[in-house]
Amino acid sequence: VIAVARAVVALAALLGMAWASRISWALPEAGTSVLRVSARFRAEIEQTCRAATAPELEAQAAHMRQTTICENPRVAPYTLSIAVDGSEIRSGPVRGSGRAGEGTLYIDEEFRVPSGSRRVSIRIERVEAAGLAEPRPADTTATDVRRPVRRAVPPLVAMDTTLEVSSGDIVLVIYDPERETLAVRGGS
Amino acid sequence: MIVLQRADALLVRLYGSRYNPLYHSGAVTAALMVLLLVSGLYLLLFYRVGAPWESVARITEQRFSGLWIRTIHRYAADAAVVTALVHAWRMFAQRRSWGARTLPWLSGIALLWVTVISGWTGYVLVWDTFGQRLATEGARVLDLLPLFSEPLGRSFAGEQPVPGAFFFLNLFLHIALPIGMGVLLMVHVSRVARAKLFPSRGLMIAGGALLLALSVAWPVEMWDKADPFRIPGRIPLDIFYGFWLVPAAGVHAGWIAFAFLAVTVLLMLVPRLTRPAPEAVPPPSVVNERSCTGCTQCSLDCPYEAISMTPREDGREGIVARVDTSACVSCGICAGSCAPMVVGPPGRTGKEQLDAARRFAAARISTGDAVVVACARGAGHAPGGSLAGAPVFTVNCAGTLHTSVVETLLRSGAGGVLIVSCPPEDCWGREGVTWLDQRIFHGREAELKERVDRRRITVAKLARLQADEALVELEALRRRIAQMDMPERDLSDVDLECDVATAAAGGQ
Repeated sequence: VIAVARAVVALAALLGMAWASRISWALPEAGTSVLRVSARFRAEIEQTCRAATAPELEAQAAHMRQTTICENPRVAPYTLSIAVDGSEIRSGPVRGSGRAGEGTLYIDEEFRVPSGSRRVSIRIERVEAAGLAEPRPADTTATDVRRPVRRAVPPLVAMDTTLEVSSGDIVLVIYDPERETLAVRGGS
Repeated sequence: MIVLQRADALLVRLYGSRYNPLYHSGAVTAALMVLLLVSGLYLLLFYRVGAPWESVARITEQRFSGLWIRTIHRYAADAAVVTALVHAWRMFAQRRSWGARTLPWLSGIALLWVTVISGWTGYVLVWDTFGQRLATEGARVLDLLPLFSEPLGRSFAGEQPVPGAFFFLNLFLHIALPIGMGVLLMVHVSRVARAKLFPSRGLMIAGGALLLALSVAWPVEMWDKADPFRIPGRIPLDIFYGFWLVPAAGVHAGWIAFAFLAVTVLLMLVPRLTRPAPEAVPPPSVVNERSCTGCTQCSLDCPYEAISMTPREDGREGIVARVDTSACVSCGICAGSCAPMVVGPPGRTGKEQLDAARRFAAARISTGDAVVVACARGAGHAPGGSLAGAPVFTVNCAGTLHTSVVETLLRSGAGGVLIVSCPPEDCWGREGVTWLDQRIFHGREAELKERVDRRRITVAKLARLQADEALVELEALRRRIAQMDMPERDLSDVDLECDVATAAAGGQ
């Protein structure tokens, strides 16, 4: 009896462990469809610039003289808006990476969408800084913005298309930096 | 606690204390880690970071040289979590988690987390639907931290194939973390003497054979390959490593991180939370240095390396025992080890045990019946002070029992002495029962004097809820002493080394 009890207890413990090791879990999102927007792009850099004054120019050695002095570089703000079948499901700023939010901009968003034919609109748009323009060297007191200092995403990247989304599909929208457009992967 | 005691009693009845896995949960975990290391190194030979799922599938196709070894690796990983949790639960339930045991507790929690994290990296290496889920959910949490230049979650979005560097990093962690665990394990056992890193050979062989049998009978399967463009209806879930995925589904990553942090902080606070009130903290052992003979036995027997021998500072030649109060857990094992009775926690030294035994004998022993000496945590502990009519003399831990107490009880008229201790594998003072057994029957220093008839003594090593077995042992002792002549009751003072040492030291 003891030998049988020993075997039963050991077997029960092992089988219980093996069973718990291979439970089948029905995902809560099973049967739905997902629109995933994943993008990486460089934002424009904005700087506050002004024309150098004559005393400032004279204070510099001849080979160091810059007619425009630019300060306070910052990443231009962008917004992302996503609409499915005309209903906006996401609208807000895109934050840059890093503590100060000044690094590369990333989008990594997922939305559950009903299966079927869906009209999807996505806009990534730079927010224009109000009242700023190209610097005017002749104006020694003006405070303006100069852009860009590096190759960046266009001021507006948009997509407005109809996607066929099947149950269990994940449709991925990415930013294609070569074509400077949004592109679709996966789905129908 | 009662659940633990019942499980202990059941498994001791079935397998004996030597093979009760609950008693050896920590050592079994360490043995499983070795098994994981060996099987993992073998699997590493066939793993390819450039084709993770495909290479694991090829391993799985080979029944003898791949599938079974991978299955053993997997089940050993699961068993390691189970045994580590049992070990932690045991230490918590027995209140062995505070004071000098704080470092082992904290390092144990770190070991548990490292084990789980190492398991996560192992599952991600397979890159099936479960590994993908672990990776994406883990990335959601890690992306809360301002550590990465690019959100980790994007790596699995499907924009690009998951880079081989990601699997290389996982593989590196999967190997490096267990190596780091070796260092943590050394810290974990640094406060105990003669740490038992592995269970008995029999238990290891039996456990290994059972794992192998399970692997052959119920091998793991290849699950579906991770696909960034499909939502699987169901995914396999290893509850020991994916326990958090179910409650985390659809929950903001901040809450998941908070839950992990809260559990970790709570576990780290256990030493603080389980520490008794200051007035209830048992005091550490003290040494009467004037009477210490410098025999070194207490230092040798201390299970926590809390006693060292140092040169005397009182002008006399020789060495003397000193207690490191920060390492002493007040187990009292030194009290039983010290023949002259000059070391031990206040109130539990050999001399104080002897005084209590003399009072007990005067009040309770009269008829030549057996006397029970019971560990307060063991099966012989009887709240009414009597076990089947036999008077019970309770000690804090049987491992602390001074042999002079046994002799005193017998010379005071007891027909026999039944010492009911915990099993040696579950002694409150770790090695106390082993030392007690050797002092009584094998002449270990502070030994029971040769003049004492060993036939009148039984040491029953029983789990807490084995009271029935204690009664059986008591009846067996009674039958034995009934067949023996009752010696003259001798109330003259026992020739005790403590008295000799005390006299030599000037009557302290």
